[in-house]
This record gives sequence, structure tokens and C-alpha cells, in this order.
Amino acid sequence: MSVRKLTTLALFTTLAIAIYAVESALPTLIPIPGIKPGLANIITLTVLHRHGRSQALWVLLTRIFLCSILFGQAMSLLYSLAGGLCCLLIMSLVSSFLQRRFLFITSIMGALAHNGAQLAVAYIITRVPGVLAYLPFLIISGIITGLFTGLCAGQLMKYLPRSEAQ
Amino acid sequence: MLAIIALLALFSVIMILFPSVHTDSEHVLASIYQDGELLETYDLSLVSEKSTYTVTSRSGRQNIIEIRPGSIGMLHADCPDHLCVEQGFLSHPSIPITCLPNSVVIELRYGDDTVHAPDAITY
Repeated sequence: MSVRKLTTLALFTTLAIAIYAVESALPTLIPIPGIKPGLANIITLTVLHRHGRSQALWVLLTRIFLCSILFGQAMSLLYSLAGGLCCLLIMSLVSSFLQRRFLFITSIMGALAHNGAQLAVAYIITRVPGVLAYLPFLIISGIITGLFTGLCAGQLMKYLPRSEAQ
Repeated sequence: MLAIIALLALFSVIMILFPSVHTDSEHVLASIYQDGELLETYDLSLVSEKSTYTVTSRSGRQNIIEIRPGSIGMLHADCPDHLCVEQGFLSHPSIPITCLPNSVVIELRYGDDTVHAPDAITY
């Protein structure tokens, strides 16, 4: 990995952490666990498209571990890891056969995978089948937030100089 | 791909607008779970006075649940997000109140099981 690339990826990771910090300071609009904008995914999506899967994985893992140490607690690490990894897996599968302009679909599928994985973890931890009642709410929120982050990432990539990616 | 998303959206809207459980029972039961274990069940229809129930997690964190006549909610939680407190008080079965960091769930349902309620049986 060249110094240039390392620096670029580190910058992306820093941006993702900053976005996460701002997002967690925002007041919650809908008090349902798991419903949040997920704006840090803009960075994951951008790195996935510009630098490929393995770089996106590194940026994602670094962001999750650092955010967990800085803002979270042991339990949130488990949820973030499950959600983030499933999201990246689905996004890299979907984006491999979709064109760039359908970035928002990739993002929606990623958000749905993220919410689904987190609900699965919530069910495993609480072992109360009632928590599955959150599913429809999480699907709707995943579609809305996924669409939004996908469009944001599309705009970002439009203005991000291409040369940096090399 | 869009079709899958549309179907999921349709399914969710239907699930939210038409909850499946409908029974004749007027009684609303609230169950408190921690780590999947049922700690306590209240018949909210029979509660006459406010009371609180404290759940302490293994790591020592506390959730204080307030039981009111006809409703139940999280009064205080030692977790960072306080989502469960913001969910407010529930009086009808809908989505459960969940505190994921402390693994505490309050679930409401219709029914008339024999449950713990101080003045449930008065002869």
C-alpha cells in the first residue's frame, strides 16, 4: 500500500468517525432501537466504489473499533460489527452487477442487510421473540435511510477528484 | 432488485397498518424480560397504583420501570442512548419497549392469564 493510498484511506476513516460523532449527537427522531440515519455508510460506499472491497473492509473495521472505544460500550460493538459486516457484504455483491447510477439501490440493500443483522443479534441477545415486531419498522427505515445515504454518496463521488483514488 | 425492495416495503406497510393479534380480552398483560428470562408479568388492567420495578443487569446497570394503571414504561435507564425511556409509556400491545444495552424487554399482549397483581384476587 502506497503512502498516498494509506493517507487517503486514513482520511476516509477520519471522515467516517466524524460523521458518526455528529450523527450520535443529533436528537433521535424515532425512539426505536436500530432506526438511525447511518450516514457513516456514505464513506463505506464511496471507498467500496473507489478503492474496492478489502479497503472498504479496513476502513469499516477501523471506524467501528475506534467509534466503539470513543463513544460506545462493549455491547454496541457487537451490533455495529454484525450490521456493518453484513451491510458491506451485501453492498459488494449488489454493486458488482449494478451500474454506478444505481448506487442508491446498492445502498438500500446494504441498509436492509444492516438492520436485518442487528435485529438478528437483538433477538439472539434478548431471546424475546417480541423484538421481531420491529422488523417492518426497520425495513421502512432502511429503505429511506439507504436511499438518502446512497444519493449522498453519489453526489460525493461526483465532486471527489478521481486522481486521489489511484 | 427494485421489485424485492418494493415487496419488502409493501409487506412492512401492511404489517404496521394491520397488526395481526386481535382478541376479545380487555386485559393487557405486560411482561418484563431480561436476557430472555421472564422476570415479572403485570395485568395492567388490574393495576390501581403507580409502582416501580428495578432490573439490575449483571454489569450492575439499572433499568427502572414504572407500572401505572393501564400503562407501563421505562422511567430511567443506565444506558448511553436512553431509547427505551424515549419510547414512553405503552398501554396497548404494539412494538415492545427494548433496552438493548441492558438486554431488557417489556412486551405487552392481550390475555387473562393468572398473573402477579396484588389485588387481582379479592374474595
